[in-house]
Amino acid sequence: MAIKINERDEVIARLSAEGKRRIMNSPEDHAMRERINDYVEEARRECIRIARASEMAAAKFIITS
Amino acid sequence: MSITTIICTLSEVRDQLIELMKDEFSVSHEVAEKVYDRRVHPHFQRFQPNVRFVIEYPYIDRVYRDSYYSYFSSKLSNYKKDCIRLSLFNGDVMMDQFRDQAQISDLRNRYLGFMILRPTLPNVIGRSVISPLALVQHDFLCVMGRFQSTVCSVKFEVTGFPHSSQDTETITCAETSIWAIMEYFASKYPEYKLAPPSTIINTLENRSSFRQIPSEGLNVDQMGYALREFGFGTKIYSKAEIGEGFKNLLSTYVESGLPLIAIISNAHNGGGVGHVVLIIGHRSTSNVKIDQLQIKREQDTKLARILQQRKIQIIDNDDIERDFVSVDDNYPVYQLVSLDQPVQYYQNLDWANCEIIHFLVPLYPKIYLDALLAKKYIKQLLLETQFNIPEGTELFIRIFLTSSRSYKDYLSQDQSFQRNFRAFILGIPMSKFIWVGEISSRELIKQKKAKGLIIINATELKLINYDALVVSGYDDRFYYPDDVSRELAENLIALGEFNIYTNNLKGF
Repeated sequence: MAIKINERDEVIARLSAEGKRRIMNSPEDHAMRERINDYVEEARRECIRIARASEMAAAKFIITS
Repeated sequence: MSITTIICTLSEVRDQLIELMKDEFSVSHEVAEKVYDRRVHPHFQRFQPNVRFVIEYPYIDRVYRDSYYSYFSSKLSNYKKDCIRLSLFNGDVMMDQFRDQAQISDLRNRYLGFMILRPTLPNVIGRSVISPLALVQHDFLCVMGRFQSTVCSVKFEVTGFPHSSQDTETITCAETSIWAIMEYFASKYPEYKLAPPSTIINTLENRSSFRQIPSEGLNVDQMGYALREFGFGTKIYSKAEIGEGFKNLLSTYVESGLPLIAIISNAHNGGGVGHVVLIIGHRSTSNVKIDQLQIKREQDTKLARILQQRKIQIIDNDDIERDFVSVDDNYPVYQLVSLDQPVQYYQNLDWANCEIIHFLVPLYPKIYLDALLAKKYIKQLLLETQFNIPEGTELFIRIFLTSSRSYKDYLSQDQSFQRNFRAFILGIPMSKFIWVGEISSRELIKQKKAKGLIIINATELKLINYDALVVSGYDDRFYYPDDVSRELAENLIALGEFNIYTNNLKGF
């Protein structure tokens, strides 16, 4: 007989049944998400700037030795 | 023409090779002696005293033949086509053993690699792969491929990193580093191909306004272009742009098991050196180094503010003052260097004072999330998410890139993980590459253990709304984005302590 296993779903179901799992959808949780979103967007812009500046700074450097 | 074999010890190899170079490369005894003492001996003096050599000649080397037919044969002077091959073994070797099936497996266990001597005097060291075990000093970790070779017609395999000296005409340090990178990746992954000198030259044909050979070096832009053409999504980082976190960033990629191309210069001292070395690993981490690790000021102002508010301190694995393993085509393979003085072994002071000004990372093309942003994101998640981190805690973090296949393989066999947490992670569909942040403490990491974990999808650049988060857990809980609502789901499970992942460099 075929056996179907989904261990991840089993863990989730077990934690839910034991009251050890919750979806973080309170206003505080959303505020936390927004803080992380704001931070990563700003960090991403900074990383793009560094990447472009690095490419330009390095491009013409000649390696001869 | 027939193949001649010489078997000799470390103390006998000088006389044998001088005679051989004199005869095979048609040079005087004095020239052969000088070439041996200056160019070959520095490699051998680092070998274990019980290393034995099996010397075979003539040998047709694919890389030198490529240079020969694309360049040296076009000269009037009579350049030789053939090379000399040296194979290395640990302990005594007898010719009869190569013809005895029962003894071949013993020889294979004691095989330490090969080195080609090519007739491009004085730069005679050609394609080589030497096992670190051949060296007296081999307490380091580095990326290595597996390379097949034959000795006395018997197939052997060595684990090591490819190396060659530059011949200064078809390959300078820039081409040699690209060649070595491609040899390494081609030995590991079928999607990458070898890049002999003529392939590199042909690839850059449309990117060069002037003649390409004899080589006068490459600029960094050409190196990046060549790597992109050979299948990489190359990233470059400049010290001038990254600032204080430059060494930390370089270390993150080394910890990720990627060979890096480091651009070396003394321009800051008004010099004109432009050189390239590969950085392929680091010395094993000692408890003393962990104890000496200082808390560095967080460069990112927002993260620094949160750390201050929560009274948490972070020490970073990538700030440990280690020696790194470099491959320099002017010196023997596996040099141990500090990142502050990456070529300190040069006798010339102008060179010894060089520093790394840029480094290139040959990334798999679908890794869209780079180390710079991944590290910031992992730290942000660690500090913002509601983990139970008491005030005054000092966290040790270790962040690296790996393939999800390797990570899951390790996880599936590691019994130290909490059973449900492990089953949960193994059941998550993951991108081919993932960023992993392991959270430990100064004492726990000495036992190679962690108590927290953050896994990020390396193919997702859109980090908002937890889109790139796979799972994050620390101490008594873990989080993941719920499949339906995409909100974060909090799960209370005591994770305990678990073994850190050491597959990238095969150690810590």
